[in-house]
Amino acid sequence: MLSRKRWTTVFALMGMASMILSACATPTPEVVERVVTQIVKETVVVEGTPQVVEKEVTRVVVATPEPAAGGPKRGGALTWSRNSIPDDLDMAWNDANSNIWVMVNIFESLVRVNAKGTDVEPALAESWTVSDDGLAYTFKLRPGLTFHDGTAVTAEDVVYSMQRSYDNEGPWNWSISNADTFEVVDESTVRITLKERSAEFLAGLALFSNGVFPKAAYEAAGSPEEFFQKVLTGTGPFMVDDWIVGEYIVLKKNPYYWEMGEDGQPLPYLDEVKLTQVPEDSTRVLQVQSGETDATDAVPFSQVAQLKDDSTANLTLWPSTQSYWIMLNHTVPPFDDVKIRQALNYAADKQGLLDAVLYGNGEIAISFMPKAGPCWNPNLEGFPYDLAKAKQLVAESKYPDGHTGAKIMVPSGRVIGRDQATVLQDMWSKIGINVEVNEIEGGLLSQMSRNKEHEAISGYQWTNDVVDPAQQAYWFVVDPAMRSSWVNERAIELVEQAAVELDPQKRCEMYYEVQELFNEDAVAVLLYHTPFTTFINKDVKGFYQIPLGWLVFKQTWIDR
Amino acid sequence: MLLNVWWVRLLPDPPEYESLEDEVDRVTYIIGRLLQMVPTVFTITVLVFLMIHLIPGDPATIRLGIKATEEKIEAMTKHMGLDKPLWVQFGLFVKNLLRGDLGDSLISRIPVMELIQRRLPLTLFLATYAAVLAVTMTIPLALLAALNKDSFIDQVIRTVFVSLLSTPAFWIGIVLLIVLGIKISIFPVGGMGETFGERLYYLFLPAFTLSLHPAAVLTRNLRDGILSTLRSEHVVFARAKGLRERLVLIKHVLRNAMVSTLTLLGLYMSWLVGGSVIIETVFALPGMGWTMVQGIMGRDYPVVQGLTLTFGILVSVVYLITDIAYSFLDARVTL
Repeated sequence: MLSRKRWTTVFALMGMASMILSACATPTPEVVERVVTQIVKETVVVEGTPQVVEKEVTRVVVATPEPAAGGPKRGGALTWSRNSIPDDLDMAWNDANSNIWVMVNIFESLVRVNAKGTDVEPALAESWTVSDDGLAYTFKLRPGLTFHDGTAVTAEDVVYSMQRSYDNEGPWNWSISNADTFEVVDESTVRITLKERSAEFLAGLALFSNGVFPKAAYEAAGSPEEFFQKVLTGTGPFMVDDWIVGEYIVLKKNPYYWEMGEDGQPLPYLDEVKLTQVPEDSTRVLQVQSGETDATDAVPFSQVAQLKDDSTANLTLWPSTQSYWIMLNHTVPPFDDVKIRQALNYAADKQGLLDAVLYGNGEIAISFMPKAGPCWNPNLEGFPYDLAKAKQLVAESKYPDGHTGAKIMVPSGRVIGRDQATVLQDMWSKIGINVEVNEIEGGLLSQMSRNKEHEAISGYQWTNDVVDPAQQAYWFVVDPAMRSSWVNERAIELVEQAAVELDPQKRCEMYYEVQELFNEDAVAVLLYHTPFTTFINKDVKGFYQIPLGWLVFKQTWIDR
Repeated sequence: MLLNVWWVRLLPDPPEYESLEDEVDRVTYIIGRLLQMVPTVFTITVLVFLMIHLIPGDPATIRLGIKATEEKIEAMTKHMGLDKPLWVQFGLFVKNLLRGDLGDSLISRIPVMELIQRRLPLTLFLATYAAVLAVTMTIPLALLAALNKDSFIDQVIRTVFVSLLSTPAFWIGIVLLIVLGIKISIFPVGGMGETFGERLYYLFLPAFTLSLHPAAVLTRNLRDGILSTLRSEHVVFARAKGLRERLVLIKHVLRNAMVSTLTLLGLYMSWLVGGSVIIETVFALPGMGWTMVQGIMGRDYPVVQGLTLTFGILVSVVYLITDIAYSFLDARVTL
């Protein structure tokens, strides 16, 4: 096994190697760029004095699937290297983005998240009605829906799948635990009645864990393991053809898929998608450049600037709901004082961090909620860099002379976590808060944070799983409240009220207030929202990744 | 000229003083050693079981990540079968082990035995390939360096290998990938081929990268071995008998000098298996090393236990083979 130190060296040298590599890349001017660099004038406050400075700012431009001239071509196999491929496709129990983001191509629910990741839209249900009391949802299935094995999708299959999702105690059953009954109304109609009104019900229903599978095949398989390892019959645009955990998964075109392509024929355009597990970032990029594979994702930000001019492949930044922050344990000095927490926020030069750690790829966060998600409060001030204010806050705090010895813990191997901790260590020393950076093995650190034995943590991030603020607000404010020990009755009450408020405007206003309360108490050190990155051969068109992270292959095609 | 003949001759040709008694001794020795392996491997297994279970960080918490609530962690713990007391789990583990069942991965639910059967051949192939490449480089280079002691060529060989020793293997791996995989494009970036021939081609870069470190140490060792053997009396005597220089070098010098190099190679075999962790990661090869890293990070207990057991057996077997090979090379070693 490698020691932590050795891994650190490994990553540092990987970075060097990638720099050598990129220096050799041939730039081509006609590359479609999605990163725009501009010089902007900005007022910053340095030691209490406002100054106008010129800055080079890199902005992420929203990328949407580009329509191609001549229309999509059908057929072909797409090869894609990933950091990790699915290791478990049991929709009720798995809990890793590597599973979820791929699984959505295999299983579908009654509703799904739209391509922009802003709302739910019809999927297996072509329409639905809601009773006046907001409790009964009646879904009308699309006519002629078929599973991968050619059998028809019935209302009974839907109810059976929902019931399994409800019955198990897996990580996702909150998404449907508010349901009271699941009924077959007729062959193509399903009714779900809720225990209490819920604003997030449809968003939760769109979650992968509520995918529909055939009752007959599931029961014939004998066990959930057998079904979700070998049978894997769903309704999605792709079906599993071959799957070796830790190596590759081959997804084959579902010939019965219901959604039509631009040419009026059923999607998907591709015959096959093969995802191969290639854990090393640099190797994946090299594979795309050598033509060994068509695409990869999760390209390190350190390589973005160099790869955007690559002649073989397009580097794309996708808007995401991914955010970074520093978690603080409010029972540990000096984080037990709100003034210190505020000071730490003001003393963190986010633009400096963004440039140093993410190479400019991202956006400064003013809220714990992602800008690309619903109910993000645009009126928040956030914590603009202000060293004088930070110093003043420290002076007014329980620790007027500063504090030495608190720890920022980093899950080992997380480059971003380590880099931002190191930069913050320096920034915070200017206000007399001297912290140590401790790299801790990832598994150990999750255990420590569970037991509230942590201090500050750098390197964790959040991505929304549903297009609704409820899941995130609950985790940040109610349980486990970012593992901060923060208790704010008003915020908790608002989160609970918002969950049952059906008026979208009122609901968002509640979340706006929650975000304000979060910032007032400076629960965490807010940092930034980061985009997803893909690096895809120029011949590949129509792929997109939604802000929740799903890799959507159904409209992807290869122009060869 | 030397480089073509030496090593075919090196292999067979048992010493004249071998007797039936020696053979019997050897067989008894091997059986004894095999029996000794049983407690060793069992101890390793017990230790690993305890160590992996007692280190902080439980699989359910890790699996559920930061989004986990206490209730969900409990449910996942139960789902993974980890809600039973440790001693019950150990009992189950030993019981299954005696039946040749290593359990299922906590995460993918795949039987660990199946995982090992799939991953082990690649790692063994890679380690053996690297060992063969290392020896292939070592013998000619060590002879060249020793026979031209302190010459320019000796200096070059020594300098190159010292720099190799101080360069991390993964870095060399990435540079080789960039140069030979992308720029010159004569080797593939990733993949491992289907047929034996393809495997040799696909795995050349990783095996070569892996072999550099042992080759450096072995060359250095063999060079010194040859130099000291060259000075010994039996070589002077062999020369005095009028034997041809080639024969002297092969039968009397190399053979004796090889003894310590072989021991080193034996030690390095286990290093090669361990070293494959990094190489497999850089070259995207799904072998034992990568599986082990994943297993440890996710606290996938059955996977870590199964793999450690396999590594334990492998290392014991390699040491046994080294000891046996030893007795063939060095007449003074009786088993």
